[in-house]
Amino acid sequence: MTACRRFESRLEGWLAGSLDATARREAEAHLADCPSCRELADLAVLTDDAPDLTAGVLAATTGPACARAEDHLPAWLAADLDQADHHLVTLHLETCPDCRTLADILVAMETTLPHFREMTPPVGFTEQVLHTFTALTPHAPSPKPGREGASGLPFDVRLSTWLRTAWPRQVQRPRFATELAYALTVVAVLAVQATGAFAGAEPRELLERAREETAEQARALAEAPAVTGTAVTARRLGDRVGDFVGTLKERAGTFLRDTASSLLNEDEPDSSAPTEETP
Amino acid sequence: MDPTELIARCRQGDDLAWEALVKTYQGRVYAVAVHYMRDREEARDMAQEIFVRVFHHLDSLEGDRPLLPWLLQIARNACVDRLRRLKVRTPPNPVPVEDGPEIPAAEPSPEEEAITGARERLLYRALGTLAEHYREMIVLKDIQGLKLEEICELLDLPMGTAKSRSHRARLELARAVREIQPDFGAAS
Repeated sequence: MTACRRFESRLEGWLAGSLDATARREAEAHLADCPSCRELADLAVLTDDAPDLTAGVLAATTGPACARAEDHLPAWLAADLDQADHHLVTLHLETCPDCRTLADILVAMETTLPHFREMTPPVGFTEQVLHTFTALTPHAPSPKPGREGASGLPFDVRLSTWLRTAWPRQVQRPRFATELAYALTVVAVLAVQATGAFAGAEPRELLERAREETAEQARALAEAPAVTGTAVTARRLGDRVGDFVGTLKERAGTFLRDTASSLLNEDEPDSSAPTEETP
Repeated sequence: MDPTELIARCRQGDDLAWEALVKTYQGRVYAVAVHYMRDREEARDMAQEIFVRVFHHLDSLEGDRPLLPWLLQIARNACVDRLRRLKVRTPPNPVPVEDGPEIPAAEPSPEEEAITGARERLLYRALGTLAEHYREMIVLKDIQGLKLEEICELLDLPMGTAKSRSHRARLELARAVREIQPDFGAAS
């Protein structure tokens, strides 16, 4: 290795003052004799006063490193990064005020968030909760209902609890109107079958009456003071029921005409030509 | 009283033990409900429903499991169930794309007014801008102080996912705070 190459290999140590005495003496002796190495050393010393080029270089190459540094911040604060990454983030924070601000906020959050651990409930909350359990356990406060809930409790207590808590939510469900109309229709059909209210009526009359009954129920639902969504659903249901009954009526008429026609044809077995007249 | 003994007495039908349990944990339960529901009235109803669930599931607490994580699990599940039902019931509001992310309200909401301390109010407001799964992580880990292992079990998440979600949640919250008040950290 030439003297110049040896000096270059020791240059950083010489600049940092970390060479041992022998190496430093050799380097300084070489500098005194070698103009090119002296020039190199002067340049190296000058770079200490150079402006910070980091931002400019990053802008022209990879872009700012803030995004990655920010991603690492929570782990950096938790000392959850490996040593190299921890060091890199620390270096970044020394020169990046934005990321430093974010780190300070994260630190402040650590002390402020636990303040939310408990909140004072509204006045009367405790009494309300305890009152609920008085109702749930009127005779024996044994909480042994298992997964099925209050299966060990009297039926009236369970029903009253359900009516207080679950019923209001059931009523507000969007499909409630449809389900109610369906249930009413089933009840109406069963009632008709049980009472024979339409016994002996003509098919046409039967259809008319069924249509009127159903449309009336739908109108009543639509006009009832309920949630807007419920009224709209009921109105649509009424329209659909009307359409359905109309279609049913039309098909029933066609069926009756076809039946009568076939009966007439059976009465005239010799007539080979099909009649085009509708009976 | 030791929570284990408290639970044992509650199981035996000790009214006083139950009252003590409610008084001891109502603050935490209500706080969880407030953070999930973000509405005081909803939170009050929710907290009550949570205690009803706790009462009905007293037998399901295994002997070696600590009370608090179990209680928070019930609270969390109840809140998530309620939010799910509310979402089904409430049609989503169409938001124009150009409106961008939610802008924090200048006027404090009733919930914010109930929170003492300007820094706490600001944090509460910033929490409201987070995605639900991030807010949940902040509530469970940074507010209620659950361990990551407990959160993994509660949310059924792998450890790596829970850890990265926790870091991401804190970062997003810090960014939201910086948007509202950049010198939040300096004032501490």
